[in-house]
Amino acid sequence: MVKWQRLSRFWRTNSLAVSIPNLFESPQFRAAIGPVTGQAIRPGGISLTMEAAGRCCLPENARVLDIGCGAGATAACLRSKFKFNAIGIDRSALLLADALKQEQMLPLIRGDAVHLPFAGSCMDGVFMECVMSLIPEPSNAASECCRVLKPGAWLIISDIYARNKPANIKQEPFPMRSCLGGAMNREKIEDMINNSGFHCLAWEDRSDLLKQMAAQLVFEFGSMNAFWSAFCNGNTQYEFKERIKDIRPGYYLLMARKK
Amino acid sequence: MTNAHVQPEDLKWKCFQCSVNLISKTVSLEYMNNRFSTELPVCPDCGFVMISEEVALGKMAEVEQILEDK
Repeated sequence: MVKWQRLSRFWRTNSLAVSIPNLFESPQFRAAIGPVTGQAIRPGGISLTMEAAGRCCLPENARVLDIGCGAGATAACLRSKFKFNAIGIDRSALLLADALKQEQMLPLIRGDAVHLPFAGSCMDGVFMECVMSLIPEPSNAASECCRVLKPGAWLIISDIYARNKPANIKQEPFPMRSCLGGAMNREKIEDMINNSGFHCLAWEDRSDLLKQMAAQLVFEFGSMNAFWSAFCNGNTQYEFKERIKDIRPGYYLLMARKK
Repeated sequence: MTNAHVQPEDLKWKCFQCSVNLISKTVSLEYMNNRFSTELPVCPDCGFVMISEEVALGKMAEVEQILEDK
């Protein structure tokens, strides 16, 4: 017996609708940043994923979900290097189509982090890298992660965070959806994870990876201004730069286990 | 898409020690324990790297500021 009402929520048009463009889907942005980051477009790239995966000590065939899998670089790495049974989920049809072009036979599905199409307590690990800050309802996503994870299973998050105090950050909309727009401060992130059914075991500032990425972009483009110019116009560029100054972005790695 | 790292005029220089023309080569740089690779004019014989004033005051200065968190 199929419960149609329950299934239909995965195809609700408003759950996948995006009103403002996504920076990470922009071909110009991906072309500009790709040579520096490789397939995994985030600070630390695949090497941070591998470090975190190694620290979890999960066995081969562990069922692992990569939320915000994009073109599948992380899922591919978790499958080949760790022999995990890794699955990817992403809301972007465009990025999933990129994965298909690469002809990798990866189990990637389209879906939303706040409505994961998986049974409860079925995953040994969930990875969310540079994704939580893109989700409009991050606490709902954290609760969904908790639902699909087995007791004691791992949640690995790496993401941009705001190093400035919330009181000093202007609440202005971003011109494009990006991880900078949803950057929260450390206290808020840890509270959210601890209140979603997890024990937060490690929080590590990895801002060095963000700085390295920015520095490599300068070497590649000549300046950060030249990098921004490669994919956005003067106004958008100005807003991005103002917002970056405003939040003083850092990067973190968080490792938590389901209670 | 990206900048040409080494301009033709950068390769008009000769290495003072070896008297050979500099070539464009990928060089590994380190600053504050961070490693980067970029194309720079290099002496093919002794490996001497030339960093022009423009590079030193441009992209390298910007990288220093980023890494120093300024």
